[in-house]
Amino acid sequence: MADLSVNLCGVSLKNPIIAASGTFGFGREMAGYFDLSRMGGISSKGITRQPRLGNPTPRIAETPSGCINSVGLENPGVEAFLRTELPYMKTLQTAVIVNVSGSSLGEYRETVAMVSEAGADMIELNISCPNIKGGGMAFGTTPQSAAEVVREVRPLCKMPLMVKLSPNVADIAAIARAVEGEGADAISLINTLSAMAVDPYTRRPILASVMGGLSGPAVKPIALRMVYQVSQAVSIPVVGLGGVTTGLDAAEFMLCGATAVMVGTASLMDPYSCDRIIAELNDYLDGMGIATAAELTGSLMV
Amino acid sequence: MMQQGSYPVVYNHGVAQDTMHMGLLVGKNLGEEITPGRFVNLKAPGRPDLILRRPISINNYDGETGILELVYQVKGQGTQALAGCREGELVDALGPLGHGFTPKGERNIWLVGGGIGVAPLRYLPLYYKTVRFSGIFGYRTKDCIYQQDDLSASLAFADFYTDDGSNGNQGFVTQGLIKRLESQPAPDAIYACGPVPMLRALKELVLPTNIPCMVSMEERMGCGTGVCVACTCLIQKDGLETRKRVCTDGPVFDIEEVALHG
Repeated sequence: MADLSVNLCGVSLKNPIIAASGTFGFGREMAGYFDLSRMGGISSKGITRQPRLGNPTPRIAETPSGCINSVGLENPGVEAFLRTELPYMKTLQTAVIVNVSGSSLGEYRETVAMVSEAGADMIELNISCPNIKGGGMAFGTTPQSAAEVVREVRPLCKMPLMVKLSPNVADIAAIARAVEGEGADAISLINTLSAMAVDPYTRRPILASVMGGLSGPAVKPIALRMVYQVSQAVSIPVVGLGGVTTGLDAAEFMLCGATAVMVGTASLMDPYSCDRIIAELNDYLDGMGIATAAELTGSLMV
Repeated sequence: MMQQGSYPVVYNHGVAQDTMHMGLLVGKNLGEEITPGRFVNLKAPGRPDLILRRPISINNYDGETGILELVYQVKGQGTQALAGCREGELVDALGPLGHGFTPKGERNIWLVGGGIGVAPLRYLPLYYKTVRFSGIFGYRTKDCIYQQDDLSASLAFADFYTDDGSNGNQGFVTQGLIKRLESQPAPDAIYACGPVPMLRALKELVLPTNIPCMVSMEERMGCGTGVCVACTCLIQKDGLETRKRVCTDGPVFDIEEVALHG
């Protein structure tokens, strides 16, 4: 049995496997499938200042080895989240990460301040949601705007601040350096890739919003490349995600520089995925004679 | 709880145009959980590239044989893979999931079904044996009808309609419902499942009657477990709009509060 624990910018995780935002709810539904205290951490569904109904349906389309979603951040709003969901998440005996999104700087500031006041292990700042208009991903697509939003919220956040990056950019390393420069404590990537799916028989897009975000095994090679590039570019920890479905996938991300790994779409395929991936990562480490998960990070031989 | 497992196919054969009837041996004495209106979420066998599960409604379950029956429409790659399953092959199923139809003291319930939406309704009279069920069912054409004798045998009355009149009466189920409402006492409740245009016509028809009406909704799903929030439907209640998840809050909703678009 390898030592799976890792330290993510001062937050100690039992293991490197974190449930990715938007694929695990607030943990309630998943608690019926396995013991969530086995998780390294859980990142909440994306929270905004006000409740959001999200986009019209259909909001999901299957594509080869992946899926495209355009949920559009349906969520109960930060006040209801702090009242009913965060207290529940804190009982789960795993690291609680609150994913915060917004469509204006003011909204980001207010939500971060409220979550910070309520307390959690980390805030994950989502500047990369491709599915809401007038914000979200817009903040994450240039180094200047990414830096600006981090600069605005950093003083308001009393806990470690992780910034989730969009892959829909020309130079991911430049954006990573920009948010590091404004005091981000960690970076998570990748959010979904802007994409679309078409039904040739109806001659219509499958998603009501036309475009959405691609995730799942199909995006893994792109995610690995970007995690590798960002790990080379910054000195803060990187959390890798994008198509992680097995323990070996998780190991690959860590080899490319990730301190921890998020599991997203795999939880939609199978609610037990995170639990299985933790066990598979341990098997890999044991099989390779590697004593600790932490020593995998960045140990890719190039 | 079945939760997740791989279950052998007992049979899998065509029962109507692009419509298959599959039996899965899921285990005995699970009748408390495998209730009408719930669904199972199946992986497309042999197709790991199709990453999402396929939600299929429960057509019947026999606690003594342990066989779960599913009737599904062959529509895309995933259901094609299911249709290719032979006896003895294993199918990965998660479930049963969702909230189904739950009669609360109603003694006389009418089922209104359209096309593949008739499939989940069949289980109701077989499960709730003390309730008197009747049915009005509509199909595009005679080749789309399945389990007709079986439905007739389990229901107080069973009216069949086709759009083209090739079997039973010509017309829509809502016309059939009007006829029945004119000729006999109203039921205590209506349970319905079918295409959105049918449900929309049904809603218009039943709202003024004050007959309680529950509908099983369909929407493109991601997880089936409530976490991805892809499959929500719009709920309009007391002047407020909210969204509820078809997979976990439903798939059965009060027709009064669910918005029927599309």
